[in-house]
Amino acid sequence: MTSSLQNIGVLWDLLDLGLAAAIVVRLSRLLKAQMALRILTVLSALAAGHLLARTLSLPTVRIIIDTLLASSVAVLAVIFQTDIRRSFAAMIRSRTASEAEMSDVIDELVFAVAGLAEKHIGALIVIERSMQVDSYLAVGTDIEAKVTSELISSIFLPYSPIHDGAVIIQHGKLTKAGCFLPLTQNPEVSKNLGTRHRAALGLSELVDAVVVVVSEETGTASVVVEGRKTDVLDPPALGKLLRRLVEPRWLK
Amino acid sequence: MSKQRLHERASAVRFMALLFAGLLWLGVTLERDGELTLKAALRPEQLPAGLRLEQPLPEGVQVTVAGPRILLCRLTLGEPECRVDLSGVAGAGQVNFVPGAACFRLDRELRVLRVTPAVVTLKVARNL
Repeated sequence: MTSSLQNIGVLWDLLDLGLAAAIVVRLSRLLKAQMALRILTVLSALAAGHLLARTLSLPTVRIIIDTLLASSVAVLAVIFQTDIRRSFAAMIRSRTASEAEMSDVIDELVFAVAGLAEKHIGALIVIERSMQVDSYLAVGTDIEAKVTSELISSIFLPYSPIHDGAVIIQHGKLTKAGCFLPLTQNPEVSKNLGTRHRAALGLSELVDAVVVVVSEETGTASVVVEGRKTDVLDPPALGKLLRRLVEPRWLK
Repeated sequence: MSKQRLHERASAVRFMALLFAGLLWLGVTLERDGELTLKAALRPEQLPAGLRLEQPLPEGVQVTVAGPRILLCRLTLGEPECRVDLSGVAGAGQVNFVPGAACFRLDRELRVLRVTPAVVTLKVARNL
């Protein structure tokens, strides 16, 4: 009987520790990683200091540390009120909102591709899916920006220094531009296809990414997946195809 | 920033969050009351001049202490003593001493629950 009660006590302690850890981990996600790391380091040092001061019976040090620890919650809430408010808003956002976000990315892409195709401006857009594409990319400029049609269009304008390469979309963000992709080595590929299409085919043979190509000569858009090219006739068809190929989890 | 760097930073944040939670939990858990029984050696004090204690002295007493576990942990690090105040001894003979909480000079938050034996008998003799 006593042993089983002790076991319950241990389980209760573990539950307490687990819940405390889950709360702290969840709260730490409300802040940016670097800031969270600094704050957690300071708080851990204070908590360790409290334990040390208590063990060594240092009452004055203990009062100072306890005061700092107790007031830290209020101080942090005041300093980071904007971040906390923003994070809570993001936390309560529903799944519908995440799907809407995905729709936003694809809508922006389709809008940009339609504009570029109309003006006969060549473009190469890679959407990463489950396999990472980083190891197959050469050169490139880090961008890390929200996907907008204006940004994509301006990257591919002929006077842009990074127009001659691919833009990469990873986890719903435009992460790189001006990247050179491996060209296809497949001898069966039509001789009429230009370098942009060959690059799209080359990458899609190596990873599961979806590559959107806009031809400078014909002004048509194509989607390349797993070494196969599909020409898309109009923007709604491109949007439909991309929604079928790209799952929301790959844009998170 | 590369994906690997972001991943490393996220892992570091998770580690620090778990460390902080662990320390916080430890701080709370160690404040809970516990009991500890340990042996305290006798330390006779203020024996009047001309008197001496006959050897061998009793081995010591077993004392059970209760209080916050963090303070009990500290007790286990040192060797507790039971101070025996002999200032009131008038002459040679047997002296019975009841060890109370004050003899152990413990932290104010600690309580003495039991002392075994409850009475310590010392033999006092005149110096030769």
